[in-house]
Amino acid sequence: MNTISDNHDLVITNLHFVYPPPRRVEAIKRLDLKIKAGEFVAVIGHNGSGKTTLSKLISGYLEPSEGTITIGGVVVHKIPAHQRPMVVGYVFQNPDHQVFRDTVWEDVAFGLENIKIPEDEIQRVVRDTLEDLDLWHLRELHPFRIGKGDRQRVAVAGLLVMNPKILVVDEPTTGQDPERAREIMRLMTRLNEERGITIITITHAMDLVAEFVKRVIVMGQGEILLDEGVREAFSKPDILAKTYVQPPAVARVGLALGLNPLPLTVDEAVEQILRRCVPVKDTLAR
Amino acid sequence: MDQPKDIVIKLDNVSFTYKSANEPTIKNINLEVRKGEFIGLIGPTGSGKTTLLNLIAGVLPHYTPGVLSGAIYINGKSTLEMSMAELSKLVGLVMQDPESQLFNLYVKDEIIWGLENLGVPREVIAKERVRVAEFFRIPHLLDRITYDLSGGEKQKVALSSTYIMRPEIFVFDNPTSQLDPLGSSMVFEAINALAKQDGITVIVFEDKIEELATFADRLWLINNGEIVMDEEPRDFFTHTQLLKEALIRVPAVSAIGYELRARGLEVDRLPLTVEEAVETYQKFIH
Amino acid sequence: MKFLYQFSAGDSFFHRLDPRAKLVFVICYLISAFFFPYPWWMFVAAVILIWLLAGISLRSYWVFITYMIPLMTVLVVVQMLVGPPPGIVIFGVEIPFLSMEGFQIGIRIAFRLAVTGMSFILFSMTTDPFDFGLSLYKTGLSYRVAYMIAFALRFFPLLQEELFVIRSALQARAYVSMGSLNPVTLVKGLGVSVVPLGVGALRRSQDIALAMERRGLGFPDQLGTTRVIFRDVHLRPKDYAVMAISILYLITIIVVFGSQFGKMWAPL
Repeated sequence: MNTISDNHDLVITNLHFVYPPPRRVEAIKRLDLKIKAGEFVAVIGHNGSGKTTLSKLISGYLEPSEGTITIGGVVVHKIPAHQRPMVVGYVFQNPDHQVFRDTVWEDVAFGLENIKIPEDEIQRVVRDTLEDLDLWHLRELHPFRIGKGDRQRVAVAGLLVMNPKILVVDEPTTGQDPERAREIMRLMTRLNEERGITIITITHAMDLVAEFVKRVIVMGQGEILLDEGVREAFSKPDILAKTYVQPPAVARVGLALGLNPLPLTVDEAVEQILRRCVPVKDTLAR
Repeated sequence: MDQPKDIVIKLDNVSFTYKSANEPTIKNINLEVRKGEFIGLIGPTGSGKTTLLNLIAGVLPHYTPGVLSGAIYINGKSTLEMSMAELSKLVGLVMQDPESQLFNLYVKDEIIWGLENLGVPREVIAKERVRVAEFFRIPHLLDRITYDLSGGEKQKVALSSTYIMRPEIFVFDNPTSQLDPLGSSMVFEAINALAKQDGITVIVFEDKIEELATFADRLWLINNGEIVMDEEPRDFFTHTQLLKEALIRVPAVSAIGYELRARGLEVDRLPLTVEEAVETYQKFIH
Repeated sequence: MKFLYQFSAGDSFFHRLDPRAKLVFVICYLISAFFFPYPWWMFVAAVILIWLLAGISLRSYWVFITYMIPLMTVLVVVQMLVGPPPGIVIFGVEIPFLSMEGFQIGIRIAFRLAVTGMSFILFSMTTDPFDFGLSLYKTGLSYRVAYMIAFALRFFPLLQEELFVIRSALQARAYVSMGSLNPVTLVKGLGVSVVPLGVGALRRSQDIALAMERRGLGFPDQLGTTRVIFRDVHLRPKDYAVMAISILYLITIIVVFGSQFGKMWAPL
């Protein structure tokens, strides 16, 4: 599989964004952010905190009111619209909004046709991508006839074929059952590890963030409240509360029990409790 | 039909096959619900959960065609002997999409719409609107436009608009699926307030199992169209094999207890909530 | 996001009129534009009326005007190219292929079109869709149909928002049509967007229809209840007055200018 080797760091400097009239809402106050090539980052925060606005600015759908956003040194919104998908792909929240052709195969090929890739290469890339995302057996079906989880993978596939360096994924876990949500996180982890794609995902599922993500950007009221590792971020429930975010259940138990370092998974919590045990002999079941 | 007075819902060997399907979506279901109970329904995608809920609410087979064998009794009367209009008065239904349940322009008009259709006199409508808005703590939303509300607010308005018609049974089909954590907790709070009322019977399907387990009196597990478990929450999560087959994960805080037990610690009661977990595991650490 | 044709609440004279009175006014104004030989004045008058009577400034619907200008320009140019000689005289020089009469016809058509749009804006921006539906119901339309019309009016702005998302999603697949100056590309892009828009709308409409039935859209038929309308629309004296004045105005215009009906396109 191809890996992206050139520098495609995302650098945001002094970003300020106000929605144009008549809305005139200040969505992003003052923002500086650096995401290195190949990172897997989650953006969390309350609805209206600016996460979606930020992700649209990163993807070039919105232009900053002030400040710059560059990927690999190139200003994002200056990249011609038909070339941008090859730099940064945006997976919209609702997969139904992204279906444009009658079969899965054609829908995934759609983007490549638009950038006039030669036919034999389209065949190769689409086939590889469909197989990689476990969609090959669905290729003849109409995208609206398959399950929502599958349709979401089709949306991802349609963007993946254009080989973006950064993938911005908007709430892929909302509305999915826990098992499917987990599958999606696994998929993104795999894309990140195998292909080196930078993944920026917006999500509300804190348990999945704890399990799959290493760095978390916490947004609140148009600003970045925290930008650090998952463990550090979930150790600060007071700051998280400002943006209506609660650490996952395991972390909350860990916080209340004073466990350090803060456990993020069941196994970590178990290890910590065992390590802290009152002399083991007194509590062993007979 | 001669039954103990306080059984409000009874499913008697119910199977249902959709019109265009080859096999039944749910098979041989036998269930009873007593007046005032809060039942949680848990199950993976495709298990037949929506079908079951829609049967209880009388959407099936009245609104969507299919073959029903066996019978569903609401207050002793078979749903086949009632029209969907009658069933709509008996059973309030709240679905998962906040965008699809509000259709009037202003919240104040949406809430009373059902009473207008019932022909309730104007003075009563006015009083009911105030009562219901106060009960769900949304008087500040009355003058708002329905499509401008947050997801959680929309679901609360949908619930209020149904509640005002005074059904005694409420069925919720994944009400917080599309919501952020703040919206979810708003809706859970509202459902709980509703369920606490005398004589109101509530059946909720949710993917957010932890929350559901906290509020419900009893939990049903549905898998492959059959009810596999019908237990109180504390016992529900002890059947690990059945849960595994249904791809249902035990709440993280309980899973910690399981593992600690397996490692020899005497965990007497498996906690379901963070508070219970802290209390239970506190004993082990120093 | 404010959408085209979206109702915006207000307390102006026009807002407080019954929807039927507004409809009569707007239709009379519209028809009169087809008789009045200088419709650009009617356009200006419409802007002033909207501001005075409805309290809506030009800025609120400026976007609509910017969409109209290219269309109007095309109309004028086409008429100029197609019309009979003599040609337009600019700085003493006659340009033979640009017809003067064509120009006269073109600007009249263009401004009449603009007035049509303005009339619709005036109506939809000042009328609660459900007041409108209610007034239709009172005039005899079945409740179901009247309610659906109101619901469609309420829903329409939201489709615009979805269309915007879908066209952004098209951009994400390197299909660029939004903001394109090429009308063919623009229309094609709209065509491609219609499929996801349509399917989404279809699905949602099924859920909405169920929700409506659950809360009693069909109760009067199915249960025999008598529907009560809580918030009502009445025709008041000032509504009748507005309707009467509008019709009188229209008749006057027709009488004064109707004799020139054949010449209403280009009074020469």
